[in-house]
Amino acid sequence: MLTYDKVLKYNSIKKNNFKKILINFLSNFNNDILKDYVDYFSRKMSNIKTEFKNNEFDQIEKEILLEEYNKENYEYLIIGYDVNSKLNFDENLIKNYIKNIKDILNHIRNSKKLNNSNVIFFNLSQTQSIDYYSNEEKNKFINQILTFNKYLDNVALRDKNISVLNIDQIINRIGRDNYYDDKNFFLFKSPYSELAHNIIGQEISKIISSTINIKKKCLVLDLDNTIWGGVLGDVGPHGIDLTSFVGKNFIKFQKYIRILKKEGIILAACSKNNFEDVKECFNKNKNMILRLSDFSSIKANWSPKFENINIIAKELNIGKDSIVFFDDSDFEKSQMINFNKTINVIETSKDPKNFIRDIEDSNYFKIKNLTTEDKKKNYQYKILKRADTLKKKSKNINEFYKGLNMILEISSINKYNFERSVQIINKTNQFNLTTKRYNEIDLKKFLDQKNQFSYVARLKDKFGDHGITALIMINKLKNKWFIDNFILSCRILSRNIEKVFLNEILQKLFIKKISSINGIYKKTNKNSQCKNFYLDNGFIKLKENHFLSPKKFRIKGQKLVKVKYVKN
Amino acid sequence: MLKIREELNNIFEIVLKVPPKKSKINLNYKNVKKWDSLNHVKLILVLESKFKIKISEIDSLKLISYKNILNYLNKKMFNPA
Repeated sequence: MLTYDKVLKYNSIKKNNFKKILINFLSNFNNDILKDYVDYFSRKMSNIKTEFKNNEFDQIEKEILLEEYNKENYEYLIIGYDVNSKLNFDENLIKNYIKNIKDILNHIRNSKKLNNSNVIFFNLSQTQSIDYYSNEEKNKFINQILTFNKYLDNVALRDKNISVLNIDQIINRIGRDNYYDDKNFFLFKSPYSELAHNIIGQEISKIISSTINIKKKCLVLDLDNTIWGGVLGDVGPHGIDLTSFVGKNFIKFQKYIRILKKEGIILAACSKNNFEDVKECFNKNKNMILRLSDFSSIKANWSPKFENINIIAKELNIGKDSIVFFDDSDFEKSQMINFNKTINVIETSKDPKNFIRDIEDSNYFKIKNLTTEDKKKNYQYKILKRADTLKKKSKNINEFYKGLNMILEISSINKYNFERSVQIINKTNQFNLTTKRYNEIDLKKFLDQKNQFSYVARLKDKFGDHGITALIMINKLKNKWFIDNFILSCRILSRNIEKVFLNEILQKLFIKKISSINGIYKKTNKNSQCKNFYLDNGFIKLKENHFLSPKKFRIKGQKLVKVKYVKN
Repeated sequence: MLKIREELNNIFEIVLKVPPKKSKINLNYKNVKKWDSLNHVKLILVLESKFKIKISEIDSLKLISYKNILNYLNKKMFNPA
């Protein structure tokens, strides 16, 4: 177990590359130690430094009523009620909690500064130390707790900025006696043991990082002894273990992987096996939960995995840093870490019953809010692969583009595509000319300006709908027009879409008599591929990385893509 | 014995932010600025996890100087009750 001295030691290390966030943590117990754990896990797992507002414990109501509170500005609010610290349970206790929570939510949703902040609520455990109550009282108490938890679940369901920390889930994991520690309550008014501090801290930091961090896109799985027991090459498709006492863990793991897939994680497999054997195993073994078609890419051969994974990244057109590698073998893991440093490697335990926890604890895929685009992603990567096959078959590139029947649907950024616009602004790294990130509030501010034009584009082709995959934002600064953001999702690169889109928008502006538009290329570690974009499209170089649009802008190949304007 | 002192010095540096080169033997909750009630709790928690011992509520209230803690640890580690 992680000990508290290690937490303090790690937290005292100064590092500059942390993203800082300010949290207001209100609770009816002392949370000073817990804050150290939250900070530890946030730093360690997500490069986030958490700073906490100073406040006293057990003053939730007072804090809310305080005048000062109205002026506050923080990104996270954590509200922790724990009834175990209340020795006298009275009937109004939980009613009061619900009332307080309603007040808090009303307050922050009506406040301009806070209405976008995230809120995390602790729910209440049903396993309270209420042994000394009569059965009737016990039932009453449990019912009230259930009402409270249900209320929180409903609130979280309605509001995507609200999360609930499920305390009973933690208690089920470690046991009630290991969760509460009376001595700590006596010493500093925290009811939790060191182990409970550990886990609550970790869970809170997972929620925080799920709302801040860019999610990983793809999970690359080993096969032998990872999604089934045994070595396929040795035992054949019917010899792999999915049914024994140990084997059932692999079934459970496969079911979990399917859930990840449903949530929009792209699956790939990378295994030292013959491809034909793998195919046969998926097709013939009836116990398998995962299907061959669940994987967007499969590399079953004898090349080193750190090389295969490069091919997977290329095939799926995603950055290597958005790939997570899961393998039971220490050898493969260490090879990956040594020879392909940008890949995220999950620390796996040897025991398949812990595989799910290994992935959960890695925090790479913790997802709070899925957009519809996320859910479609697997489908979109698959249609991309089909397009790739057509590309190989076509004799020349123009014929290939023509055969795709591409339609680009352009619309201004509006309430229908707002959420996706924020996502694309914050997630796209490769074809991103300025890498200017905007959160929801900032984007709203941008759109409220008088002199701005902002559009998104959706690409459809003969294989299906790729979703909203391009965005441009243009505004006027000191009498000059600038392309503030120009982004294209990597999954539709190399189809000339970027040119067609820019062409369309610039034509639109020319009609409005806006003819000189400045384009900036801001270099990052990842966007070198669009370095020459403006130059290649006839812009004139003014300064290093600063370009000006030509008087006439028309690109070749325009006819290969049909453009439509739509409202949503 | 030496090992215990070394560990304890280290804990004082991490929790109470006492500079590494400073002698610690005469330190107590009055002459260490950072030794407030919160850091006292942190100190007790770290002692427990570092030395794998349980410190009772009553003992924890007595451990308010470096010497006290050192004596307590020596007793606890070499004559466990």
